Amino acid sequence: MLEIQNLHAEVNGKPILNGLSLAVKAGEFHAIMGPNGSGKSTLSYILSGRDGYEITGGDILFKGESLLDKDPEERAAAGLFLAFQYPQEIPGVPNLTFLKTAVNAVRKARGEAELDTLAFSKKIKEKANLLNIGQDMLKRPLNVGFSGGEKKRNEILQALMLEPDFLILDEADSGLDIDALKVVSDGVNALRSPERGALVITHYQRLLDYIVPDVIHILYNGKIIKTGGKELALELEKHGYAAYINADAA
Amino acid sequence: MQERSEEKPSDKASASSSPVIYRAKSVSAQPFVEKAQTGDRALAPFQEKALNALKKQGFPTKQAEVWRKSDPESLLSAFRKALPAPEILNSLRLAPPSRPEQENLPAQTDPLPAEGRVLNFIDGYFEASLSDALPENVTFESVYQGLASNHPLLELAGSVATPFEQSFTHLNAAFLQDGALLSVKRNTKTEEPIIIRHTGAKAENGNFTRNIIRIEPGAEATIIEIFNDANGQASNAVTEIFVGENARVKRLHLTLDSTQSARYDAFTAKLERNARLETVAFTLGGYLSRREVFIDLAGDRAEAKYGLSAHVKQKRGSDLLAVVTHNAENCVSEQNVRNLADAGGSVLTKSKTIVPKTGQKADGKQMLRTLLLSDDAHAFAKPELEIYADDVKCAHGSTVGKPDEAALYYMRSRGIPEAEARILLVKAFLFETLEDGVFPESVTRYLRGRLREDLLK
Repeated sequence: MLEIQNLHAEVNGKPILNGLSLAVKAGEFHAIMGPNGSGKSTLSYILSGRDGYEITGGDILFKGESLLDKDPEERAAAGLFLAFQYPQEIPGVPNLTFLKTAVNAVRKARGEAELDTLAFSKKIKEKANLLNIGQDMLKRPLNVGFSGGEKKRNEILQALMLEPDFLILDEADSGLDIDALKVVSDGVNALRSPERGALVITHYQRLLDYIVPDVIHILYNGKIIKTGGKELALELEKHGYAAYINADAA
Repeated sequence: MQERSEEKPSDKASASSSPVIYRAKSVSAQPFVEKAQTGDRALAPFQEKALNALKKQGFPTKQAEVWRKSDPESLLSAFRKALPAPEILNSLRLAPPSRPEQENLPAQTDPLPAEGRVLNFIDGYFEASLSDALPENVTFESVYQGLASNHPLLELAGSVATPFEQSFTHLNAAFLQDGALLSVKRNTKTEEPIIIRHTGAKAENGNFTRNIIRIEPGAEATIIEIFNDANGQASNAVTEIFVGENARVKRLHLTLDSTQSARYDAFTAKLERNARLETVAFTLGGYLSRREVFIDLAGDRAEAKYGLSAHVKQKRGSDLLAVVTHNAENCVSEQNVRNLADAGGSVLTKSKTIVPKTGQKADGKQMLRTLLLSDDAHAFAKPELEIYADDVKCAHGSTVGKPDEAALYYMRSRGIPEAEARILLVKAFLFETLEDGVFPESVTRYLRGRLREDLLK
């Protein structure tokens, strides 16, 4: 479903990704782990189409088509969704207005009929309940004054509403206490299906207790240095990144 | 925080002293004065006074500080073309021209921003057949009628002391056609907004109108003024509000002109003790507009909030001069300006808070923000404080920038196309002046719709 082929990328002339390759099939959840500065967030931004990243080599195929020439909104319409580590605060735009605009923009781009107010209200109520999100949070300006946990839950709410084919979670657990982590993970797991893939980017093994991946990759210095099953997370927790980094260097 | 402006000598600071005259060269007002004095025309005292001031003062050029970077000459030439015909000038009152039956005037067909009692003015004159009766606690007379009967509210015309000479307001007095003289009775409240709608229908026409509104002590009212001019018109509209002790007024001022019209509008307000004024102006459309706002906090603990949101594009210009003077103690003022300039549009903002020695414990804020949507859009903002009292809390700020790229990216990453994301962002920006709960909710919906049309044009 998602195939990253020998991807090289720079920011302001500085190489960040140096030949990153991986492939995620439909139905699979992959985790990417790596120390600070290894290029995890850069990868998520490049996948979603953020400006400011120069692709100097390689390609990203999503459902067999290259993503590189697509705008962020086209990628979203194609079914890609990035849950941000630091969701943007947008004063003056109510959460609900934003969600409705996004849902209908994506439906329109996919050639589906827009949701009317009634259908939208029904859907949002159902999904918000799943994440313990109340009316108040839906009426407030998008992410403004939200706690860390509220922001993360709101990201997952957007994913549940947009129903993407592929989910990228960038540090979905940062700033969450155990209870909130469980709510967010339940939301993500609700999206698991044989048709859907995901890339779960995280520092710590903790998140992977709740969102159990099929494959784990270790990212270091802009490329994958080790790929393994879910047991890799436990090994990492025990030995740290250094063992793998040194092995790669040797 | 204390700040002292270095531009003016201290004895000129108070609004109660004489207005600062244009030191820079001025344009003679003689042709206008002569026209206003055509034949045996009789003028009301405030009109005579205005003409004398005009004679002495002339019109400003852009060398005058309060007109800097603006375009008074173009405004003046728009009014020169739009003066009333000589045959209707030979009396105290400029008589309404006979108007052919027109159908589908915006006044008949346009939706209103809120439910309310409507007073319709067409091409400057009150149109009783298109207007509602007002509630018992409100008295109304048209300026046209009032000029014949020496209506007491006309004595208030031009009575708010302003720190700068207002030549275009004098021009309004000299050629005044009509307007609303409204008074809300003491200790009463109007349940529905009073909507005063001025519609310009005939091209190549000038409209000189004035609304004088008195909110008697303890009274409460919501006033919505709507101005909607056709192409080729030049309008000069003055609104004066007098807010009595403990009275409260909310005023929404919508300017929805066609893109080829010129407008000068002035808003002056005087607030007595404990009075409160919340006014928000929304400007969409118009080719050239100059707006002057003078708020006199005359009684202790008076509070005024002034907000302006304007969208200009296609080489159009919007120019604001707003001054709040804290003449009494413990007064609170807030000025909030949100300007949006696109495609060659230019926005100028000069705002000022003056605190004379009598204005101790003043709390005054100004925030001017401008968003530029294209490389050829222009902005000029000058927030000023002029403070002579020693115990005040005043702040001012100004920002000019582009829409937040990170916010745009975030919205696009959720599938919202860039153009749509921009609309969401700029709407949010312009609506910052419109606080929840001040005006009926329908106003926000109405304005969102109008703004969307304007952004997509």
